[in-house]
Formats: sequence, structure tokens, C-alpha cells
Amino acid sequence: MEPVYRPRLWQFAFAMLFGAFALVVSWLAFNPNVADDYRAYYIDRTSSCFPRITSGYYELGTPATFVAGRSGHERDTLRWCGFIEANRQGIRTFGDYGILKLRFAVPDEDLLLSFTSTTNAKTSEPPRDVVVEVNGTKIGTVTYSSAARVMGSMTIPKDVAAANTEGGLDIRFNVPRIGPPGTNSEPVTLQLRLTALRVVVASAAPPPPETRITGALPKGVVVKK
Amino acid sequence: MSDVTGDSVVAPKNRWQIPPFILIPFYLMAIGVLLRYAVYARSSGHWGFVDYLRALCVYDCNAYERLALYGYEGRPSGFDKGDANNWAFFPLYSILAWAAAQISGLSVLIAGSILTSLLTIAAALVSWPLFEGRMRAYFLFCFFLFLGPASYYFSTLYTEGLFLLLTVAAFVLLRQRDYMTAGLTGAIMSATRATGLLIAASILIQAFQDHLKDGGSARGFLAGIFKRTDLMLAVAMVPIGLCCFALYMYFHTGDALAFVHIQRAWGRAFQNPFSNLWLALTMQFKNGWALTTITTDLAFGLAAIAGMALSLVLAIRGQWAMAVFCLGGILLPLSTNTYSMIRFVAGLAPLLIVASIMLARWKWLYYLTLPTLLILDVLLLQTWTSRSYYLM
Repeated sequence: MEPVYRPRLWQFAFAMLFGAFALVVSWLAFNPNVADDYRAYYIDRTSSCFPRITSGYYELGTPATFVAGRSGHERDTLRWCGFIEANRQGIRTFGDYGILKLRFAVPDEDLLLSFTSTTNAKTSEPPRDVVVEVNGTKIGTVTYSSAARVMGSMTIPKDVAAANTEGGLDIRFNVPRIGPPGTNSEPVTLQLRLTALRVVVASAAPPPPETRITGALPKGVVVKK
Repeated sequence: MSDVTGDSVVAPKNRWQIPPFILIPFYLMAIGVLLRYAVYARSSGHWGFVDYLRALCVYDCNAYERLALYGYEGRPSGFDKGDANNWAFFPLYSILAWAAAQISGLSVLIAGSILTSLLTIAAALVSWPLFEGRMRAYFLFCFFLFLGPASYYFSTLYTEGLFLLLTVAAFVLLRQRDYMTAGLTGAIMSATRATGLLIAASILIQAFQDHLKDGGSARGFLAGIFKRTDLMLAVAMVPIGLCCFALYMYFHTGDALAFVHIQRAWGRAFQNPFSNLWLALTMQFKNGWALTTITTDLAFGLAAIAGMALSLVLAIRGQWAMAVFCLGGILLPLSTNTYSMIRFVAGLAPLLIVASIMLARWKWLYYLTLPTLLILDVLLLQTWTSRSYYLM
């Protein structure tokens, strides 16, 4: 014999009320009102880092150090997205790319970007290419085949330097994926460590250190060796 | 004759006594706190009790303390990637810790630690009917909470004590067929942890089982479900806690699911839980059978398997409402990754209860388990205070 239940109006009314509340919240959940960088990193997961709030202050021509303990590193104004904060080995990328934001009055001349870097590349594995972009334009590729220090040096054409609407340079280092995702679902990527960086007016630049740069360069880009 | 020589001469019949099941949690809690404090003082050389509480307060404890002190943070900037903040932490426990601090005039750390211990005692007391008079199993359960290797979760600012209390309360209410109060408890659970939502499934399953017990059929239950306004209301109440939190998050961040999305900072993303489990179990052996240590991945994977096995035991015992709740409580976090799985399994009350019942079934096993738990509690104290990933 089936048990008999008597429905109660007040129970039904409250159940509908709570259900409606849950529906309203669900609608809000599917229609977030957030900034693009938040959406890209946390919701769509199309970006591999969440940008810091930073001024990007940089004095053209001065060297910037990323090594903890060295003079000036504590200002930390350039590290914008995808770089873990400075330690004694410098700043390190953690996703598909790391971006430095440099804000200064851009002169109407070509600039020279130079940086000191290392990676966790191994001699037993294939060489790894890191593509460098400035203001969205590729300016060069640096190949790492071991953990040895590599001095990067590449010219930034004046039209590329002037392309940033905020005035300055967004320097992006695209690092390759070197392994499948681990238990945290994030892809394993090459870790690029930067220890120092400098941008100078190309005409006033000192002779750059020798560096191995590979890959096709865009038209008009000159790599000094 | 027996009246002359028996207990009634020593203890008059009308003398009021506190039942042992009430005293046990209080005694064990006091012994546990004193023991761990003594071990801490001996090993660290610090005698301050607040130092001890501070040393116990690691990982999420700091987050709940900050949440109680300062509320939810703004733009994420925490951790080394600069993408974390405290949106991941559900609000109820921190609200209670804040209120306890306000009322007592103590710091959030001290008031919160006392609150957690009291909530855990309350959880033990409320759980008594679920043991159906098995005193040995009940004692083992209390021993695990206050003197076992997971005692840290139940004595510092973690949600485990509160969630344990609410879970046992919900299942005791379901046992009494009080579905609506169980639903109300579920609303509080979902304001404590996301897995609190799972109690909605338990309510329906328990109601179904009760319907069958009353002579009804599965078909009759489904046919008459729209007349069960008590169940509708019970189930509709469960998500209210979470919805209130989501609504707050929407106004605070613009994203009602910010507490889900921020999990990326902890490396969590929804995937197949079983592939996550397989990855965790095999990660250590990718470069050969190295068994000299157990990695955190392997430890978390094994904890998940143990939890699922105990859920299966609950199902075999016919306790489907508990089984589904626990299985969901494991699979839901496992679908993001295996981190903290030891803590998540240790925080599922039905698993602890069924494990206690099993281990207390044989006296030799029971007497072997007690000192083992105690030794682990003492040995792991330093591991816990040194922020071990295994226990986080």
C-alpha cells in the first residue's frame, strides 16, 4: 500500500520562492560583469597569466635588474604578466608567455633591447625557441639548448616602438610548451629567467654582446651580432 | 541480596549522572590540546599558548583568519603568480569566528580555535545516534577527532569542525525523517563548503528509502513526487547558502562564480575525476618504480581511493544517502585535482563513522588503532606546523 502524502501550499510557495532565487543567481553566474583580463584568465582561460597593477615606469637607457638583493630590483615596476616575482635567479615565466611593461617617452628612433637570461632547457633535449614580441610585433627568436646564460640583443624598429597607444613597450617572451599538463591542468612550459634588461636608443647603443638568434625576422628588423 | 552488595548501594538510584557519551568528547579534546601543546613546547622551546595556536594556524587557517579580520579582498594579487586571493573561501566559518571574537573580546585566532574545538565537540555529541549505541566505535570516532592525525583540522581555524557538525546534524535529522530541517541544515552547509550542496541528493535518497520502508514502491515514489512539497522545500533550501555567497560575490567582483574561477590560482580546473586520480596515482612512477618516498600526488590519490572504498561500504550497508554524499564529496574536489584530498576525506563525517564502526568491531583491532592514531598525532604535529603539503 502506497503511503499517502498531503501537499501543503506554504511549502510549495516557499520552494518556488527559493527556486526563483536560485534561478536569478544562476542567471547572474552565467552573465558575469567583469574586465577583459579577468575574463580571459579566470573564465575563458585563454590567457596564461593575470596582469599585475604596475606603473611600468622605466627610464630609457638604464639597466633594470630582476635579481633580488640588487639595487633597484625592489621597484618591480616592469613585471606585468606571466613572470614570478624576483628571487636570486631573477624573474621566471610560468605560463605560455611573460610580458614586461615599460612606459617611457618613445623617441622617433630605432631602439635596442638587450637582456640576460637563462632557461631550464637541457642539452639532452631539443633546443627551445623563445619568440620575442614588442607591442605585438615579433622582433626575434632566441634559441636555448642548455641552462647556460644567453645574452639577447635585438633591434626594435621605430614604428614598432611607436605602436603602443600608452607610450612605451610591451615586451612579450613566448615560451614553448615542453610537456603535457600535470595534475594542476596547466601546460608545462619552458621556464625563462630574466636577470637584467635594458632598452637604449640604437644609435647610442654600446656594441651588444654576442648572442645566438635564430628564426625568421620581420622585414626591416636587423639583428646585430 | 544483590541490592545490598550491588552498585545501587554505592550510587543511589536518583543520583543524576552525565552519560559517558557526553563526557568523552570533552575529556578527549582537553587531553588532545594539552598533549599537542606539550609536544609543541618540548620540541620548539616556546611555552606561550598563543604561540602554539599560531604555529597550528597554517595554510587555509591564515586565509580564514584574514577573511574574518578584513573580509573579501579586491583584485587578485596573491601567491607567486599574483592570481590568488581569498574569494575561494566560503564565508560562514569566518563570520562565526569573527562573531566569537567580537563577543569574547579575544583575538580571531584564539576565539576561532576555541570555536572550532567546541563545534567539533558538538559534532561528536550530535553524532551519537548514528552509532546506534556502539560505544566503542563512538569512542574511536571521538579519539580520531581529538587525538588522531587529523586533529589539527579540528582544533584550528578550518571549516572541518563546522562542516562535520552540520553533516552529522543533517543525517541525524534525515534518520528522524525531518527532511525540511535537514534542508535548512543543508542551506547552512552550502554556506560553509561547496560540497554542502550534496546533501540535497541525500535528502531525496533518504526519502525514497523511507518510502520503500513504509511499503511504497519506486514507481509510487516517482508518481507522487509532485505531492511531496516537504521534499521540494527541503531540496530548494539547500542551495540558499551558496546562492547568498554567489550573490555577494557578484556585487563584490562582478562574477557570481568568482569562488570557482579563482581556483585557477590553486591549479584547479574541472576535468574527469578518474583521469585526475589516475594521473595522481601514476605520476610518481613515470620514471620507474621509485617507492623510496610517497609523493603528495600518490598520497592524495590513495586517500581518494580509501574514501571511495568507505563510500562503497556505506552503500553495501544500505546507507545510500551517506554513500552518495561522501562519494560526491570526494569526486567533486577530485574533478579539479587531488590536492588536499586527505583533509577532504577526513572531513566527511559518514566515512569516519563507518570506519570507526569497522575498526571497533574487533577488540584487537580497536586496541591497535588507538595507540596508532595517538602516535601519528604526536609525530605529525611538527609536519603540520612546518606546513607540509601532505596534510594541507
